[in-house]
Amino acid sequence: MAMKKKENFEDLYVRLYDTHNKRKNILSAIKNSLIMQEELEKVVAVRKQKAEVLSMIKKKMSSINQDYQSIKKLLPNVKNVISYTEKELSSLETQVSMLNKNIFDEKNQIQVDKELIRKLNSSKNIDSFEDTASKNSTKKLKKTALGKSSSKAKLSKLDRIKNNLKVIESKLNHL
Amino acid sequence: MERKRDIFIRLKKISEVVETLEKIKLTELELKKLFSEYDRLNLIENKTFDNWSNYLEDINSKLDHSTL
Repeated sequence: MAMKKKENFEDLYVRLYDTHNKRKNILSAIKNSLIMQEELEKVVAVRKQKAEVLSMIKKKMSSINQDYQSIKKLLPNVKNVISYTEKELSSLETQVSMLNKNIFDEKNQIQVDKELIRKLNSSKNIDSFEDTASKNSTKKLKKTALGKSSSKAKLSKLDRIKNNLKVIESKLNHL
Repeated sequence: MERKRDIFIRLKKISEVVETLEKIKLTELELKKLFSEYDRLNLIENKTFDNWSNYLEDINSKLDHSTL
């Protein structure tokens, strides 16, 4: 009977070989699983921190973008400044060159007029030794008067041109 | 030979510009710190995850060895 019972129980029992190592492995596996659980909790906490940092980064980025936009509004549009100023400079330079040319021409004209006046004066002196023809003398006087007035007009025009030139040069210097 | 010319741009409200630029500088520094912090947390996460996966492999190997 006892032998039969033993035989029945042997079906239910499993024989373990090398029990010490097996027990050790099972216990270390349980320990590792507990450590794993802790590591996983750490990972979850770190991910939470990362999400917070990311939200802070997003806020700062949006604020910095707003600041950049405000600066863009305050600063002028630099894209076309160089071309516009160069155009203005070239137009002013052409004006200056034209005025210089005009001044040169006027100076030449003044010199020519002076020569003419001198010649007229000299011819007037010669005529005074000849016949006393009053018409010629009045004509010459008129001529001289005209010549003087024309020179005066030329001079005033020259002054005006010089003044304009000075104004344009001052504008160039300011640019 | 062309004469080199300096071109000047007139800035209105220059104090506001300076203030905004300083604010931008501070915000950029803070952002740099935040990014470095994010990188640090990323490294920690990766290390911890590697550890976790190593322990899992260890458990699997031990259970495989403890065959009945």
